[in-house]
Amino acid sequence: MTKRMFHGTETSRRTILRAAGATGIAGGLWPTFRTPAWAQSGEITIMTWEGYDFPDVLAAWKAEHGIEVTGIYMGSHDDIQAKILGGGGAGLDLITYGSSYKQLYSTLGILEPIDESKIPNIGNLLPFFGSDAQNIWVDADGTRTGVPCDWGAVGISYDSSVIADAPTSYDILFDPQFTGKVGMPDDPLGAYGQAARVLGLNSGRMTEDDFITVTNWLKDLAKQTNGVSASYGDVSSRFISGDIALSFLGWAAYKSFASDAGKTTIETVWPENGGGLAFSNAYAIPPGVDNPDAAYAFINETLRPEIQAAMATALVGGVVVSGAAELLDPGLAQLYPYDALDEFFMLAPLQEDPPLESTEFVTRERVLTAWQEIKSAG
Amino acid sequence: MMRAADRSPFCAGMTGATLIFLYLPLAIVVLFSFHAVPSLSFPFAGFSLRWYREVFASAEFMDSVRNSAIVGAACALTTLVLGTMAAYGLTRVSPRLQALAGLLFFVPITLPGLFLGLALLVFFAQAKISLSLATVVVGHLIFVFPYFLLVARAALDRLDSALEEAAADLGATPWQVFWRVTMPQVWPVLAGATALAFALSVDEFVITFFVIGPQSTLPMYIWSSLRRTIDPSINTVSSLLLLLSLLLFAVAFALTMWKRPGRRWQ
Amino acid sequence: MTAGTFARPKIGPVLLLLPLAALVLLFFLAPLAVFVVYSVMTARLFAVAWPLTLEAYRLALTSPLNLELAINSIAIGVMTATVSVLCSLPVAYWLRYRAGRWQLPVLFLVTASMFASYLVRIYAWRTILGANGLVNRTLMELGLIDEPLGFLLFNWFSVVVALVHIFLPYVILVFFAALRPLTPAFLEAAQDLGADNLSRWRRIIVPLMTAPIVSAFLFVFVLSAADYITPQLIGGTGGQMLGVQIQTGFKAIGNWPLGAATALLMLIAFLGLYAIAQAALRASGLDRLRWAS
Repeated sequence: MTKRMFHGTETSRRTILRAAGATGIAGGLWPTFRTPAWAQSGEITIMTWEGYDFPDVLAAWKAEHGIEVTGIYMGSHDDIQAKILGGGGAGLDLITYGSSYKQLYSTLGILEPIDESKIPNIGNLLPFFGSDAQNIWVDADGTRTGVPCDWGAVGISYDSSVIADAPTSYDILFDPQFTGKVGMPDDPLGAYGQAARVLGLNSGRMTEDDFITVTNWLKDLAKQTNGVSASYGDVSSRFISGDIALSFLGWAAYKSFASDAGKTTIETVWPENGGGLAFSNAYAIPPGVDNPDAAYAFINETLRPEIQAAMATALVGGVVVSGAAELLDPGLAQLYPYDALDEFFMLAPLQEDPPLESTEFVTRERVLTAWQEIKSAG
Repeated sequence: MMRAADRSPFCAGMTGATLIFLYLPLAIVVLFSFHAVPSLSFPFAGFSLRWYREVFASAEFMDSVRNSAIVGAACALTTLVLGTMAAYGLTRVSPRLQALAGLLFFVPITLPGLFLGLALLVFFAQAKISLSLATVVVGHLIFVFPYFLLVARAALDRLDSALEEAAADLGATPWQVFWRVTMPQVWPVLAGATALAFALSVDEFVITFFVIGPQSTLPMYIWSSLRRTIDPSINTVSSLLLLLSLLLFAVAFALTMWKRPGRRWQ
Repeated sequence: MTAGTFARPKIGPVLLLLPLAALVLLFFLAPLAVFVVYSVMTARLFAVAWPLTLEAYRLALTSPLNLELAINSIAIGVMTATVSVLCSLPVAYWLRYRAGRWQLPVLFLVTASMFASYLVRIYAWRTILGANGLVNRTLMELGLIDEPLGFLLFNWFSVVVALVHIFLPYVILVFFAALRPLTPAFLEAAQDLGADNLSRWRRIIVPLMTAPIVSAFLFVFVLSAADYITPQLIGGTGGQMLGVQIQTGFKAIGNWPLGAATALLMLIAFLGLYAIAQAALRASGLDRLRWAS
């Protein structure tokens, strides 16, 4: 019988913070006495990727309801559980989780059940996101743990001024003429997921032999790079500076980021052999929530088509509600094939992660540990 | 009298080369802070103030500046008070206690921030203390005070105790001796050391990375910028930091070098 | 009045030390103690549990990756410290004896260079050493090379360069301070007695500087070997270091005992080095050399 020595939040501290939060709500209500009594207001703190708090997109909504959104940006997805479990989670009203982190976060107990009745717009979700065949946002027993807000896909990104023809296979990453010119972000679960797909395997269900095969493939790939980039943003920076010509786990959004910096030649493809991987972020409510009403209102607002279109434009990503794709700029609308989403998600399915604990398959921890070796390979 | 062979051209050359080496990256940083396009690579596409405008308009930036200032001030002032007390105390205790306490106060400087930060993270988790700006101040204190002590002790050691003894003999209480005899002699150095403490705190990242809560300080702001597609706004932030630190440091430098009784430049 | 009637309060001075000592005990020694305890506990995801076990140490010591990273870290640490010390000696010498009225401005410049944000300075090396960076473009412009040099960035070389840039000012200042009491008069006396430049270095300056050199070397070695930021930004695959492994163990993998054990092993290694250096200095009597003031 093992005793967990360590807890996420402490009762008395939560009480104090709830009181502080209530004062905040009272303070926030003062200038907005015109809004209905049930209206949510006050302050919410969201911990998420940069930009997912949508300071500009939601500016009007925030002003109207007197809600202040404080965004804490994470450097990596693991910062969320590190903060919450490390005692820094009190006062967090919202978090986002990537589709591949669902299992971990459920196990860690940091996803509170979401009351759908407080989110009238939930019906706007596109079929793929609403039906949730993979139980990423709604558990098998019907408990909702997250509300999807965006998605994107990674394939192979390349600089079309260096590589004239779109790559048709992942083999191009191993081409000797590109040694030292291949990019790779520090995304172990994504890397294993994609590598497994290319090799005809599934990273969520790897036997020992599968694991060795995928690990060696990734080590060979790492030798083609000049170091694994610390973040996706860093890969994009390396494209812009000309230090790389193509990238594994290439994110479609690079085109937009690079264009802003003057380099308009970055493209992304999803080759038939290997395809790609999709990710989708969802809003969730963590245990430390102070102001649930405002949190629900926030989530509800993000499901409106106009807001979704604006969000996707800001994030250079995909929309999850119907009616939003039509509102996108042509450049953005062409990023992903909205007219054939189901087929696309077959080519680039939502990433599935290795299990936390398993006697049959290789676990998440082993993958993360092996990843450290991959980063130092070559 | 210096002979021609004493010019030491090699040493002069090394000094010049070192200065170039030290300032080349800084020149790049400042140069690109004025870059007209969102790129940090050559070719240089022209000058513009857009990043300065953008940075000052950014709420995130202003928040982290404010937080850094708060943390820096708290850290510097606490260091000043506790450090001065400790430095003064160290000159007056027995040699054994002096050696022991001196060692205790010196050890943190020898440990890389990685350990200090991790140990504090684990400690706060265990003691169920939420991470926040307060925990950052604590982390900075541990990192900064040895530097303050180094300077303060050196200054206090250099003092001629005859003045203090004379004052005591004339009936001054220990507090009066400290405040009216010692302090007037060393306050410039202490002020300089406090400014140093502030500057060290503002630039501290390694420990902050582990013990900060939901807020952001300036280095954390820079770190999250580095993780995005890079644009020259981080250069802008760094140039501003450099400017501020230079000003602070000039003040500190002048204060520590000034008013040392009876000493001349050597 | 006789000297010696200055009544030094017995308790007072100790009281002055207490607040800082309490701070150090509470926020330095206690955390380290907790850290040590964590390293011998059983790992759970982002948590620890009983029973006590040495599993984390076993893992840390037997991991081939750890060995490789440790060797890398040591190599990079040694290179950084060596270059820093070697470059600082001439500069400190010049500042002390040859600078004249340039002493203050140059001192100011050297010290001021430390205040430009550690992170941004590391990143600036990309702009200098990258494929399209300053160095490559200049060399290509001058026609000296056709293709950009790839070995400048994203490997141990750029890590060492960046770390030297960080530590050089510290070491210059330490050496300058160490040379302070060694007055020109003293050196001139040696010269008048027949010592040439090289002799003066070898027989006066270096022996007296040994203790500061050793401690500066160790200081730079320890801090650069434990760096975990520089390798992430410009280390490439070949320039990875142990500090990153420790940090990842804590934040990403969530195996705290392993992270703690690896960190403590590193710490023990550093403390061992300090102890050896101290002992060597003591044995050779070099730590007791004092200047004529």
